[in-house]
Amino acid sequence: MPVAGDIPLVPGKPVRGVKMKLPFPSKGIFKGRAACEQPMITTPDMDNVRLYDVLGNRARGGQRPGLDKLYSQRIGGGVMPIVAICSVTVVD
Amino acid sequence: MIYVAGVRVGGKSVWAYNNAGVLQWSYDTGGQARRVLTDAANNVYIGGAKADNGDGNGTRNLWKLNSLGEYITGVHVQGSAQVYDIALDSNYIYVATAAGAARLTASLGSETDIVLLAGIAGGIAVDSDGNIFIGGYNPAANLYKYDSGLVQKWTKTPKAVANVRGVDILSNGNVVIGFETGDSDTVWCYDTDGTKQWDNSEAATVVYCIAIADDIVYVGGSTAAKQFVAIDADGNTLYSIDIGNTVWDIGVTSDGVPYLATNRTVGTDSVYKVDTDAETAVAFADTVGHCYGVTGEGTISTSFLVEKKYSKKLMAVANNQLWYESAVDTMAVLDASAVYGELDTSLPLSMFEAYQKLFIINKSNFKIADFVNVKLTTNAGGIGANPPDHGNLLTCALTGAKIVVDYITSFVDDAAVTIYGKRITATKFSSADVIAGTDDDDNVISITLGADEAAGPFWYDYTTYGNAAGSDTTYGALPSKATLGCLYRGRVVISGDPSHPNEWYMSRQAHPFDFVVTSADVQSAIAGNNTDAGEVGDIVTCLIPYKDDYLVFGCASSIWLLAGDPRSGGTLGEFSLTTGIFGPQSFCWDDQDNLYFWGINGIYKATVPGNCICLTKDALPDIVADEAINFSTHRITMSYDRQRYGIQVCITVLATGVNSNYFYDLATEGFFPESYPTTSGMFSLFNYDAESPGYRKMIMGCNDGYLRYFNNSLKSDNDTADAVGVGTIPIDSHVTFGPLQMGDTPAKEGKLTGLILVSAGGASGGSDSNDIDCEVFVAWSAEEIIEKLTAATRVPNFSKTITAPGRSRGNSLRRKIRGVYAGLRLGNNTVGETWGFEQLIVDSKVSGRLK
Repeated sequence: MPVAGDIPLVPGKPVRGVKMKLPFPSKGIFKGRAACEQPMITTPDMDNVRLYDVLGNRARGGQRPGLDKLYSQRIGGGVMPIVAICSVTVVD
Repeated sequence: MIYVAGVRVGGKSVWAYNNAGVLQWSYDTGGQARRVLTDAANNVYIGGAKADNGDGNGTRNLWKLNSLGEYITGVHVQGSAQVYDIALDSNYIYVATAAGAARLTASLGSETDIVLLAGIAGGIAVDSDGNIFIGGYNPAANLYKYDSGLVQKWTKTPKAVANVRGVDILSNGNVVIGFETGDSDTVWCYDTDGTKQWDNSEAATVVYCIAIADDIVYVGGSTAAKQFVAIDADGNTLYSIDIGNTVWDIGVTSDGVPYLATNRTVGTDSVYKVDTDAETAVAFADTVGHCYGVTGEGTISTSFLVEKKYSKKLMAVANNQLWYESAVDTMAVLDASAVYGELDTSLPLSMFEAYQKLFIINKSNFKIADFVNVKLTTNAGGIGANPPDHGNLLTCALTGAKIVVDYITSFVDDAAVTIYGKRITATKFSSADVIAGTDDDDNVISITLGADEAAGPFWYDYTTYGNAAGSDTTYGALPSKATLGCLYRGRVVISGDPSHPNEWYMSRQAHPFDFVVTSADVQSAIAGNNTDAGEVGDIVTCLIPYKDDYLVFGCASSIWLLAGDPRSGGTLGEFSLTTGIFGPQSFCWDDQDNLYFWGINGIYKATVPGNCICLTKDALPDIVADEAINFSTHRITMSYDRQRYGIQVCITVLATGVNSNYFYDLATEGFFPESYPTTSGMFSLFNYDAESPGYRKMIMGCNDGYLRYFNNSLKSDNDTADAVGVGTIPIDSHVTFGPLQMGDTPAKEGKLTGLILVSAGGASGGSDSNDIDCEVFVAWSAEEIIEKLTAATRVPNFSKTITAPGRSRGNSLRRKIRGVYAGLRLGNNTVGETWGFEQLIVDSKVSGRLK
């Protein structure tokens, strides 16, 4: 994802002696090429980050949102996984 | 809504107005209506003169309507007595009549006399403990108190000649009464023991009603120039208003606005609205239209009109139990599902919605959770000589109650049989009702009920029609075991039979209980498999319906596509012979109708019909090997997150909840790996179109039994013991940049001379990033950089915590670090913290040839 105003520095080909602006790797993780040819705006390693941050919902990168309970009740009443979810619509 | 009851005018005696005074609906009780109240569900209760409105339900003096004015049920209480007042609590409806007072169940199904009086009971109220206060005219007493067990606690005769017409209760439990009498002290207050606390003489002649809201006592009557009086909880007069007409009743809205039902005279209105600030009343509505004369008394109450005609319920299965959304914010167990042996969540389980019911396919457990039907039970004569067919209409000639039959448990005529069906009338069925109709072959059906109808939800075995015992094959047979199910073109589709894993079975259209595959018509049931002629078909791993147009059969190593209907012009062919689909929940659709699934080489995208493309082949070519996925030990669930415009892919170890996950961002087509606490390992995902906007989310069924979602406001992950909205598990988040070649060729070294990291926030308002940990690595080769960035124990050449938010003195790094390649790692792993990236600027210089 090109970013307007970027100095055209990409991983692997820096411009000599200048300030390099490194954009967030908005195309996510990429492990499919030679290490020295890491594609533009990708990363070899990341975890728990997304393009849209939770602070301003901007496409700039940041930590993923936290996982929260939607209901206070524990399904099944015990420490057992929820194996299926569905909904039913009923005409009143 | 403002409901008004009154003298019957123009064939109507109950009116519903919106808050602007515009009539929404009206209803005819057949006579004079005296009182109206609404319950928490917005049902409308009306009491009045015993009358027959000609709707076929006979004479009644108590009616129950829904909020749209549609009749639900009605009765006549205490003989033919006129109902003068009504009170409600969560369990009962209480009525004061010309014969005394009675208590009924909320469904008006059972009546118990509280007291029978020689005179009338004019007012009734119930407190939070279920104590009942009855006022009226009776030679023995004017005021009675009964406890919730209907035991009389005390009586009072405050005046020798007085009719208590108004009764209501203050927040401290004291009861306030108003008299219809010639004396001046017309309003009295008693404590719960019956000791008089105060009286008030502002309404000096006649009081007809008392209404208390926020501990302000509103008094209505016919005292000249003071037909409406407001009194505080200690008996002090606040103000009075000259309405000009007698006030018969007062209803106060939840926001404290009193509405008055008055004795209309020519040229006036019958309903007024009080401005409590200005201490004036203005005309609100007139129930008589162009009618001339006096309307007589009327009474009003308030509620909100509910336009909704359907309800949605979330379902979730864990620990061998089905739980459902019993209220907007509450999940509750469906008790019958929790009986041992009904479900086994250690075995594969699929569930889907069909015909307003939930169907569960769980190996040998085939179940239905029924939220739409009522249950009728026949007497010992069973279903009769001509059993009803699915969809037959049965009617009780005596009451007019009607039901559309959905499912019966048996065809026997010598034992009780259960009938599940949708009642389409407000009138309910009762024991001994004879219900009749004609079956599909025009035979006469006649069934006598042995019990009152029962209300759901119900839990019962999913069998063929009339085959609860499992031995009747009139409507074919279901497979003995299965693990997959869905709804397609009105047919229930079942597959995953361990004995025939390549087979699928479809019910008749619009009849999920008919599996007779030998019928010849185009809607009849059908079974088949997916294969070239002469071959054994592939093992079906998932069923993916696409609207009513296509059914995708995901198989172990292939995918097949059914287009159209298998009984009428449909075609079945290969969709892919190079990949299968991992499991029953390993797929999802996005909002462009693209199908995503986990196949042989990772994550695929397909159009249907069309071709499959492996999305991970370039970015994550080793994803299958890296994740070490095994059918017997892992579950892969996928869902489209419509709020975040991406595909959620969750790979979870069944035994431990250990997980590895990916968010595929559809905006950039990039994969973003994620890891969650093992307690939140995802076993099921679902996009819930909840009625309540706050619950319209992608919901995740977690390893610890909780339903979770992504909360943008939560900066840590919620642990099992954490309350809703609290997170105590830090999110270990990081992103790396590089490898960055610092020289103009790999043969030269370079120097990283500076770094500026601008984090999100810093401006006034909005949310700010927390500090970001920054690590810098250099190496002579690019792969070495990656190795350093991803090492379990990292040894950076330099590290610093960058001060956030925004840009400040603390968020730059001035250090010369020399190497051929560089790499950066930004992250945070602190409870209650999150971070956002805004800008990263790196200074570099070519240093010299690498020696």
